[in-house]
Amino acid sequence: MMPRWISRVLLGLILLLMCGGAPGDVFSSEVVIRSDHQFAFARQFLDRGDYPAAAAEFERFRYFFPDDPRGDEALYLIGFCRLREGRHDEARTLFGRLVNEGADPSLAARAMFMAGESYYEEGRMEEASAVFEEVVRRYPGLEIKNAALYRLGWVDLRRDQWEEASASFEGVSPESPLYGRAGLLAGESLKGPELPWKEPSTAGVLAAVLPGAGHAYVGRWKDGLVALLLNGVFIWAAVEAFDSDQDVLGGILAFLEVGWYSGNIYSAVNAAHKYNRKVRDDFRKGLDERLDLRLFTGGGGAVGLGVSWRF
Amino acid sequence: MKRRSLMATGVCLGLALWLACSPDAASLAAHPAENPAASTNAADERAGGVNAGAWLVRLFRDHISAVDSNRCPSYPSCSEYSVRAFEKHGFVMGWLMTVDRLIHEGSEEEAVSGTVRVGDRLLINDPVHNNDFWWYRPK
Repeated sequence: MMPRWISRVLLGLILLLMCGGAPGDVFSSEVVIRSDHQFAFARQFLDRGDYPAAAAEFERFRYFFPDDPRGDEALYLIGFCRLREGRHDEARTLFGRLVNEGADPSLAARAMFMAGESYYEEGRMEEASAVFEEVVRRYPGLEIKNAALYRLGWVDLRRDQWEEASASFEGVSPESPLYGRAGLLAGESLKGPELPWKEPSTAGVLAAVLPGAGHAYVGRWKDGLVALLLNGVFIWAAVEAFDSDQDVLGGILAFLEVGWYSGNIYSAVNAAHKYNRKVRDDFRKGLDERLDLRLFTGGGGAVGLGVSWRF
Repeated sequence: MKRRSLMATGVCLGLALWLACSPDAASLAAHPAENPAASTNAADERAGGVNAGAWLVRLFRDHISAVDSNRCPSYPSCSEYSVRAFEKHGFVMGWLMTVDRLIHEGSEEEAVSGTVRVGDRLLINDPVHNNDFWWYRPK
C-alpha cells in the first residue's frame, strides 16, 4: 500500500502538468499575427517595389482578416501591384470591383483613376480618355479629379490634340500640387500645331508623278534615288522586252514594275507618316509626363499627388 | 535589239537580287529569344494564314538566303518581315510593304525608327507594325 502522502504528491504533479501543458511547450514560442502586423508587412514589400510579394501578402491579409475595415484598401493595393507588374486586365478587374461594389468614395475614385492609368500605360487612349473623364465627372470635389485632368491632358497630347490637351491642363485647380506643372504643359501643348509636318498625300502624289520624288519631299534622298533607279530600270527592261517581241518577258517585267511603282507610293506615304510621328514623339519626350503613382497608395483614404522631375 | 533587252533584264534581276539577298532571315528568326520584345510583336504579326506571297518569300529565304551571309541592317530581316507582312495583311498589302521595306532599309530609316540589339549586332528596329501604324488598327 502506497503511503498517502506519496499518492497526494503524484496527484498534484499530474494536475500541474495538465494545467501547465506539456513540458515541450515550455521551450516553444507562439506567434500571433494581428491584422496591423500583416498589413504593415505587405506594405513593406509594396514600398520596396516587390509587387508580387506585396500582392501575395495583401491577399493573405484579406484571407485571414476578412472583417478588417482595410479589406478594400488591400484589394486596391493588390490592383496597384498588378498594374505595376503589367498585368493590366487583372488590375482593371480588381479596380472595377471596388468601383462597382460600393467602396469608400475616395478609394473608388482612386480605383477608377488607376483603371484609366492601366489603359494609358497600354496605349489604349480611347478607353483611358473615357475613364479619366468619368473620374472628373463623378468626383469633382476630390483631389483625384486634378490627377485625372492632368492625365487627360497627356492622353490628348499623345493623340496630337493640342488644344484639347491645353484645355485639360488648364482645368487643374490652383490648389492642386499639379497646378504648376499643368500650367507649363498647357502652354507647351499649344506649340504642337507649329511642329514641322510633311503631308502624306503630297508625298504620295509626288511619288506617283515621279518615283522617288515623294521620298525626296520627306527628306529621304537616298531612298528616293533607290526608288527612281528601280522603277527606271524595270520600265526600261519592260520596254526593251516588248520592243524585242519578247512579250512574255515584257509582261513579267511590267507586272513586277507595277509592284515597284505602287510600293514606291506606299513607301513615300509611309515615310511622311513616320517623319511626323518622329517629330511629335521628340516633342513629347521633351515634356515631363511622369506621375509618381506610388503617391496614390497612401493609407487612410487620403490621396497623395505629386510629380517626379527629370534632372 | 535582243541584246539590249537581255541587258535590261539582267540589270533588273541584278538590282532586285541585290536588294532581296541582303536579308538573312534564317539566322535571326531562329533566335527569337535574343530579342523578346520583337518576338512578342512577331507573334501578333503571325495571325494570318499561309498565302502565296509568304510561300514565295519562304522559298527564297530557305533556298537562296540561307546560303548567303547576313547583311540585313534591319530587324526583322527583310524576308522575315515580308513573310509577316503577307501573313498579316494578305497578298496586295504584303507586296507593297515588302517593296517599301526594300526601298527604305538604308541608314535614313534609323533616324525615325531607332535601333535594337540582336546578339552582338545593332539593327534598325523596323517590324511590320512600324509601317502600318497609320492605317491598321488591331481588333
